Amino acid sequence: MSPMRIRALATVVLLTAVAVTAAAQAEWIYAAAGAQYVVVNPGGGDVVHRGELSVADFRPGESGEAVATPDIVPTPGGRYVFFLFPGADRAIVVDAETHQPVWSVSLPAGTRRIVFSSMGTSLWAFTGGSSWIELSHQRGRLTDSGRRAASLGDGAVAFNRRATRVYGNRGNDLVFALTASGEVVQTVTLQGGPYDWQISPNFRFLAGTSARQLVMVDEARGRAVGTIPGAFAGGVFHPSSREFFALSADGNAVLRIDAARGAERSRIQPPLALAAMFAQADGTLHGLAPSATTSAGASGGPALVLDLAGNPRVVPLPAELGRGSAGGAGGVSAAGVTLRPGGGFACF
Amino acid sequence: MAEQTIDKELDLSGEVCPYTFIKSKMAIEALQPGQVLRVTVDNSESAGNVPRSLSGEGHEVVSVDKADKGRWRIVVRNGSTVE
Amino acid sequence: MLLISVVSGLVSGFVGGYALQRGGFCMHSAFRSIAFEKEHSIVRSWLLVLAINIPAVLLLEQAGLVFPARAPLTVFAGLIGGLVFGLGMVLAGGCVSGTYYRASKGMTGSLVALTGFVAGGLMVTRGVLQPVRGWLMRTELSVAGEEASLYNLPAVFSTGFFPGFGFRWLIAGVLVLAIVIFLLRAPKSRFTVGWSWWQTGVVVGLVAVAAWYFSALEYRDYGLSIVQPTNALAGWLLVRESGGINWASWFLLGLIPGAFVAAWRAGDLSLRVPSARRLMQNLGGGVLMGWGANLAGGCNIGHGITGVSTLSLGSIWATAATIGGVWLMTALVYRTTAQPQT
Repeated sequence: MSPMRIRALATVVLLTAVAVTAAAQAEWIYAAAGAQYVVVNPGGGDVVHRGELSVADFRPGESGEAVATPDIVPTPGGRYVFFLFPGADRAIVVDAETHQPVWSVSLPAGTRRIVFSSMGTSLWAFTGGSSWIELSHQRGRLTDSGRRAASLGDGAVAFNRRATRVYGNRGNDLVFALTASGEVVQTVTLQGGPYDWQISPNFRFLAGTSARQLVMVDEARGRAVGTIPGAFAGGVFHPSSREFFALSADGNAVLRIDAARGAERSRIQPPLALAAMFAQADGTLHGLAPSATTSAGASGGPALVLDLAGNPRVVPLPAELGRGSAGGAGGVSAAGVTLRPGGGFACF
Repeated sequence: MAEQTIDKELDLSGEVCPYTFIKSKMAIEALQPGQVLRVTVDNSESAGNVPRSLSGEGHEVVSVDKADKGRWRIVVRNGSTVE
Repeated sequence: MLLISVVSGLVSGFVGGYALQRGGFCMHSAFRSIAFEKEHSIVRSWLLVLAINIPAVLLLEQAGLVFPARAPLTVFAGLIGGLVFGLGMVLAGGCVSGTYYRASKGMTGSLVALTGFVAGGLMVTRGVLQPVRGWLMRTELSVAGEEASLYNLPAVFSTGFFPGFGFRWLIAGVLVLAIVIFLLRAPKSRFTVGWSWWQTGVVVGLVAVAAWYFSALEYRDYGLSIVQPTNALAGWLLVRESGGINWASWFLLGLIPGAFVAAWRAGDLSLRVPSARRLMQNLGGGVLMGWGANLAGGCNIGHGITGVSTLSLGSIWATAATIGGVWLMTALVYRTTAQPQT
């Protein structure tokens, strides 16, 4: 083949590759305050949908009352988004294709937090009591599976790929326990806990954040690979699992941490103080600022900071968001939602 | 080499494993010790596998030739000993 | 990044396809020969691939370059999927990779089998058999809450056992040593058409290592596989869903021309049509393979090479079930073929 033909062939191959990969996924940011929610396109920063979760749907007779800000939890395939209102014992399910609420599902009494298993086949509800309760999940609907998992002290816990292991605190230490029996199979001795635990998308690294330090644990080696002192308010793993973005407790710094070594790579200073962060499937990092108050004194309502690590851009959320919510303008929550058609798990 | 006398011809064009192996094995076993079978196969793997397999069964592979584009001829002599 | 993935995928696929074709690397023949023949050169190629990959995967993991995912031991999905896959392989006249490279050199029977394979796969992943898979995959045996492998197996007997790299190297070392001893006792082969078993084993083995490395660059924590990219490409071509397009997809796209060129250089390129009866059988075999591989969560490559290299018990189990299926159907074919002539 002549060099020109090879070049032409290479171009065709690459263009096809780009076309195939680009059409892959749809990404949205859901933000909510009280019963109001908006859907933002992270590409342009434009609001593509505004909606209201009808409170009457899940709390008969109490509509119109101020409601707390919900936790937004997308299903692993991104097809549905669960809005969990603290203390409501129900979640409202929104269809991520139409952005409309479709139904509500009941949860165990006193559910404070929900976590989906990575395959999306089950949902774990934390009732704040002595256990996590497993519900079977299929297409946005839940049924009680009857399984219970032992509770592991304070702080957020994490589950492995098939939710057969649960990671949480026992005193200062991190324990790996069997979800079914609560039996501890591994203990990693630590200081500075209790930690909030997050597991990397490939289930290899555990990032623990506390008011005193950050610790990175290699699950397969069963030991801490590094610690970073400081007060932290959680963070988010890069979808590659190779990096963790940790948010300082005051929301004014984001640390980029090498997951395999537990060491800081660089530091990002967001333009606004952040309350939460989330990453897109392609690794773009976004933040949520509860208030657009800057050091210069300009003030405003909640805002999104898009593409934190690259070219940060502040996008104010609509002013009406959060009006009438218990937490006021500051009580806002947000989550990134990635629609993954076909799921694509389970086959090699 | 002198022209080999062929006692039986077997055309396995269009066949792949396991049929190539089974049919050639049955054909060679139907012959008397010392008699010669010529098998024609139409793909390179069979051309590689059939002689290997038959030789593993104790028969003597006389030759493997490429007869034509996408055609191989395998000549095998029944090597079973009379008991 | 995308460029590295596409180029390395296509190049590895081309080399892989070339090697599979020249080496006649048919895992179906390998599995059959274990029980039905006295000649084991393709089994040797396969074992050589494993002997290269078991330590390579461990080394890449220890170096922090790759974080291998392991297939879970889904008892029924692995058993039934593997058996059905094995049965289908015999009827289709080749394993999944074999079907790809044979189709590439103009063997219409394999092309028909491939069509059946894609259709069968879609039935399981997105079609009417989806609930069956979900149901079969529910029963899973794990060791200390982890995917079971030869490395963490002692934890079954002693809670709190943690497999360090020293222990892993010990297990890997023993296995590799056993394979090497077996390979060194190989008889000299005569009348080799194409590559010898060790040439094929070395090249396919190195391609499999490259697959781990390049996949990790795009954060895909697995090695060589055929079923997943087949589903992904079929999803994109048929229903325009492009989730799951990754390094393995480019590998598969490179494999086809690689096998084509190898066949062309060996003068093995021509359109061959088996009897209508055989074509129907190939189609049925292809559909069974599609069902089986997708129920088991992998094929002779995804489980048989990549999964076994991680010493995942789920992959070993599925591969053993596949071998069982091949033996069962071969014995059956033996009988039905033998009858009319005797």
